[in-house]
Amino acid sequence: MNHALFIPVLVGVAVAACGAPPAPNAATPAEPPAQSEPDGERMSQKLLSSVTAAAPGSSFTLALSCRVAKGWHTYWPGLNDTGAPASFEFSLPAGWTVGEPQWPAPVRHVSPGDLVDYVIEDDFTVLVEVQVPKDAVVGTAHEVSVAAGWLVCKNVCVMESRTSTTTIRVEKSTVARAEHAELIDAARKKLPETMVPAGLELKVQGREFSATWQGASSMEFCPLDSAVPYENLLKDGASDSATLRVKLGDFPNSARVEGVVVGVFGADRKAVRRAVRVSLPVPGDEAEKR
Amino acid sequence: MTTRKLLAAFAGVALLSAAIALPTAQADDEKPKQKVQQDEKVKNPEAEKFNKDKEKAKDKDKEKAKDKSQDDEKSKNKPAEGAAEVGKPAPAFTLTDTDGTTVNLADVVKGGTKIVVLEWFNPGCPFILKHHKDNKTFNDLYAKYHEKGVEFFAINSGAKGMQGYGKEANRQAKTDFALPYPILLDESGDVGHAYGAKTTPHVFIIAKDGTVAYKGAIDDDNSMKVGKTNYAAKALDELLAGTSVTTPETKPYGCGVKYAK
Repeated sequence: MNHALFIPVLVGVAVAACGAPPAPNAATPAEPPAQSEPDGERMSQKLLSSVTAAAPGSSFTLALSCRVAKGWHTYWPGLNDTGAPASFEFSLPAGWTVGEPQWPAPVRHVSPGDLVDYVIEDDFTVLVEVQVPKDAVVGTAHEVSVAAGWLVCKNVCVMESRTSTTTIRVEKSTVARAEHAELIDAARKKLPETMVPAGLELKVQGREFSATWQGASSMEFCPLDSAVPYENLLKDGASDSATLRVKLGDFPNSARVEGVVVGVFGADRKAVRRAVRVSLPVPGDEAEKR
Repeated sequence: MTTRKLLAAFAGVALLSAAIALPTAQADDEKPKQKVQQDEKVKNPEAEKFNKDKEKAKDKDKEKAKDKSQDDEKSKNKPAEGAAEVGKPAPAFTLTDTDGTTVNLADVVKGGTKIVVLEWFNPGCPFILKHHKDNKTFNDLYAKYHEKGVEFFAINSGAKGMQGYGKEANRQAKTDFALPYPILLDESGDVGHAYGAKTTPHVFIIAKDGTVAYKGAIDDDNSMKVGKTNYAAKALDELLAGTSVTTPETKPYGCGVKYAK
């Protein structure tokens, strides 16, 4: 297959999906192939809302539904060697608050130079909860917008941005937006599990964090930043068995291993990735000596 | 309707590394708790001392390992990966700039009078554009420190076919950015690997004695905004004042160096 032709078509689809005009192909004969990507978004992003109307004191979910063009990746907000996670700037009515963005699990991406990153290569959705204040006035309508900026890379890195707006009414009772609510529920199922499931054993012993997941064919640890230094994520961060052992560096105070453990079950196309959010205390040196 | 702006950087989910502040001032306002934790991380002298001791111990181990590995004589252009360690001699290199001029690091540091700043570079990388086009972070640094005996070199370790590769593209960038210092081409990536350069930009500062005095980010903001603290400027001030560098290592940020696959 001719990839040079195939990629622009896919990007075109992604761009069309979010309403932007298809971009011209910016190929210049003198440049190497890496420079000949079409201009325009490599990652499109749509704002969804679980409701059209929200009751005072209630909360609802906003979703940023993102499509990543084939071959490109964007960054998960973890302990990456390179890149940067996207930023969201929300504009909300006075008194409305927004929680932390919730991300699906990333995949580990090692590039030449031993660069270890945690990236997302497929379509994904980030969720945030919005809290409507109790004194919100029934019968009013409000614009809610998000200005997002993100880095998307393959052998080229590009910064893109988009501002999306939706209108939310305040009513006596909440009115769900069925077509978005469904997508949001589906996205919620893709977030890392918050309960440690049966069959997954997590342990911190001495200066080692280990995870054993019965039946997993391979494992990955995607660290979030914390006070715990990791000795060698390049070597320890992935394993081809049901057990993962991650060596921890020393730190004088108590800290926690924070991140997402991914288990792969089954092989090849039938492989299923399961992700669990983990947070485990690591006793500091001082505590250990006592 | 008054609209209140809130910033929820994804970065908020996870604290960025000790060295990197949250992306914007708004974030600081919204997340005082996290900011405090970061400050603790940076300023905790106990932790700093602890880490330094640890580094010393590591260095000893590495010396031992080095003695062993010297037997299996490898290519001189390919020292051990990530060999640029703070407090140790900066890996030697000879590279050619966009005008064909050869630069040998040993010649630059030989007199013991020059401090050297190396900046890993890729003219197409959005983070390089942030510091060279949208802002003049590096040009300003050069303007302030070059006359004080600081030499600057950009190094591009991008391979053929990668973003920002090639003599022409970099010569053009030098003009576009009005870059007052040479861009050295390291197509093979050997020098990048020797230093363990990860991102563009990734800054290494070499003291007059030829040892690495600082390595890491240019500043403390990994978003598209310029940071409040310029680590390179701070390290240069300290080196020029003859005091030790208080923050000798930070986590670099930027695009990954586009090494050959």
